[in-house]
Amino acid sequence: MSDEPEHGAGTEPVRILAPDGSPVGDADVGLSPEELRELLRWMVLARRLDRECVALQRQGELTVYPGFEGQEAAQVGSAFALGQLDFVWPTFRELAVALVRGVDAVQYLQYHRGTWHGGPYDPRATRFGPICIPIATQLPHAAGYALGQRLDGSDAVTMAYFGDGSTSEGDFHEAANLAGVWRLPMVLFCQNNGWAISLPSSEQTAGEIWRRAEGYGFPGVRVDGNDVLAVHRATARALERARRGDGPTLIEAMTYRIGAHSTADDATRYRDDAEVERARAADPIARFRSWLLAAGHADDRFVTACEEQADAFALEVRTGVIATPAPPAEWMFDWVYADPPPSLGRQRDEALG
Amino acid sequence: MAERVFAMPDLGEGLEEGRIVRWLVAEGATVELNQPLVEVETAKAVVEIPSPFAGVIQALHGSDGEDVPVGRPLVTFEVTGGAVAYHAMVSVDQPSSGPVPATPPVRKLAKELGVDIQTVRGTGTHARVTEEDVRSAAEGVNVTEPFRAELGVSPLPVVVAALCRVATDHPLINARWSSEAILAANAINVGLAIDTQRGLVVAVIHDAQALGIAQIAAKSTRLAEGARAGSLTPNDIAGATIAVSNTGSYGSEAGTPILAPGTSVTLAVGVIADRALVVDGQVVARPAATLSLTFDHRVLDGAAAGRALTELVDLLQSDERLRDLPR
Ligand SMILES: Cc1ncc(C[n+]2csc(CCOP(=O)(O)OP(=O)(O)O)c2C)c(N)n1
Ligand SMILES: [Mg+2]
Repeated sequence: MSDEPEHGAGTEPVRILAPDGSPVGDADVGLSPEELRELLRWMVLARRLDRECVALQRQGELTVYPGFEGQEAAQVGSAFALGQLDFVWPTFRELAVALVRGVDAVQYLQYHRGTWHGGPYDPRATRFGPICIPIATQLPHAAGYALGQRLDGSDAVTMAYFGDGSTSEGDFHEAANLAGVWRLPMVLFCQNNGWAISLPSSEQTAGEIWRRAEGYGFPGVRVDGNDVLAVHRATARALERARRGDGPTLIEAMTYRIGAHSTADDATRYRDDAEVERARAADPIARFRSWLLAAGHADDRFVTACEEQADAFALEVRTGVIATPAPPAEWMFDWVYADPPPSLGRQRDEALG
Repeated sequence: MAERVFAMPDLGEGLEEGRIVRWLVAEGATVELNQPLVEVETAKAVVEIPSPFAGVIQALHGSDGEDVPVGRPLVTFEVTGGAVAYHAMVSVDQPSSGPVPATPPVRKLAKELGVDIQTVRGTGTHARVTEEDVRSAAEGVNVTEPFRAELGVSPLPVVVAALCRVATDHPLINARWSSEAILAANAINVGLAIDTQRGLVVAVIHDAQALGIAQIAAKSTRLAEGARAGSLTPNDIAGATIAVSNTGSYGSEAGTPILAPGTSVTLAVGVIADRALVVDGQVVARPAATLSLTFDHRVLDGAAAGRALTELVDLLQSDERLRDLPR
């Protein structure tokens, strides 16, 4: 498959729209034309904000930022399928999911501005957990949370996001194993973006990630992560299954990280421009937009309006981020230990003068 | 029109400088927000810096190939439009004005009992609102109301209050050993050894130094009931900095209890019974009890422990000093 990044080799992912936007499967995924337009609106908004965040980092307003360009369909398509009470356990790259969940972007970005640890949004109100940097550690938390949901008698589902690299961690195995053994109401959503920083997925995993589900005793599915309709349908089915009490599903969404791992990374040092160009040709937004227009669900005016809204939103977030004050420096020291050790006290005195 | 100076940002994580590869704009040029200004090479990558302002370039500081330290001026702008507004549009919750700290079960309890948790003063760690605080608020208990019936409580809460007073002057009995240092705790969290059918439970009265005898009595009753019912929360049994064992409650004269993790001292209170005591040269029958102290020798010596214990005994034997304890 020369038109696909290398990591897409192997099992054909489930797909509804071909890269050029032509339908190759049943495009009726149970969404109304208005909801379909929403999908495009979110993706455009997310990409615009993502680019603004990279710019904000280059301007010294964010300390470091991990972009998600190229992964909009995987994130928006899956997040859009969630029920109000379903709970998301994210990594550090799920800003688009956060937006769809209604997390305030300025609050979210406090984390990347370095003014707050975890972002001051309320995970309980937004049903979007704290940003998680240590790879895969959110997964056992998610499994525990899913167990709690069941003990509460709730029919809400736990949605756990992670990357291809995360599946090499023991935490992934432990969480997936528990999810299987206890038939937890949980969806394990892997965004396989081809890379774990500079390590390609081919050097990360010899097999296919979705296939591992079988070993844990639940279904796995490989879906085209740049096809928002396919992602949405796969996620909706997995959520429904979990809600029915039939247990977890592992979704491997094949996508691509167009940008660097983060603003502190230079991807040209370890990967080919040609690979990135191939991935750009499979762009999730262009694909869905052309289908949406061809199917008559939207017109050019709508597309332009989306872009204008996204520009305005990006400016609004920029202004909010820049205006956010740094919290008092002593909080760094005051909120870590109940009884701070003397060494920390000395650091505190040194830092605060 | 306003002048703005844009300084070299930290483009990586903790970088100290950036090298100017080439300028993409000239002095005098009008630029838009986010228009590429300059290519900069750092130890990690070559990146394009987008303009943080819309305006006119007044000055470019530095030439191609030059290293510019982080924080030094890079570009001076004359800012025209209001493209970037430096005023708050979104207000971010700050804890000082935000919700009072409390765990979800406590919030739930407050809701159930019809208590507005925002109005409750927290007595837990970092002013966290505890279950006890919510229950007190619900009952309308005025904790500052003088506790009148002095004899309405068992001796134990009085001993706990006295111990807190002594620990304030003898911080080593409320400290713990660590490999780095002896850590004196700020709060006095008194662990109470409670006998249950499933064995010993050490339940904790947090910040006991801030409580009156009546509150200590109420808390110990609740903790004892909870321990026996098995309904204590993890917080109820965590964080003891000193402990008390009422060995007298099962008839022992004295005890040498084992230290609870994180504590260096356990006070054993023996049974209170009439003893033959010498008072004013006469042997008389008086109620008395034996107090024994188990302590961690790494943290305090026998002399220091003995002084604290003597101080406690003096306090408990002084009517005047007892009346001075917070009620
Ligand atoms: C436990 C742990 N090990 C290493 C790292 C450093 N690290 C940060 S991101 C990353 C790669 C993660 O790859 P993947 O799971 O594919 O997610 P992606 O970055 O592609 O979204 C690594 C190794 C970390 N954050 N945590
Ligand atoms: Mg990856």
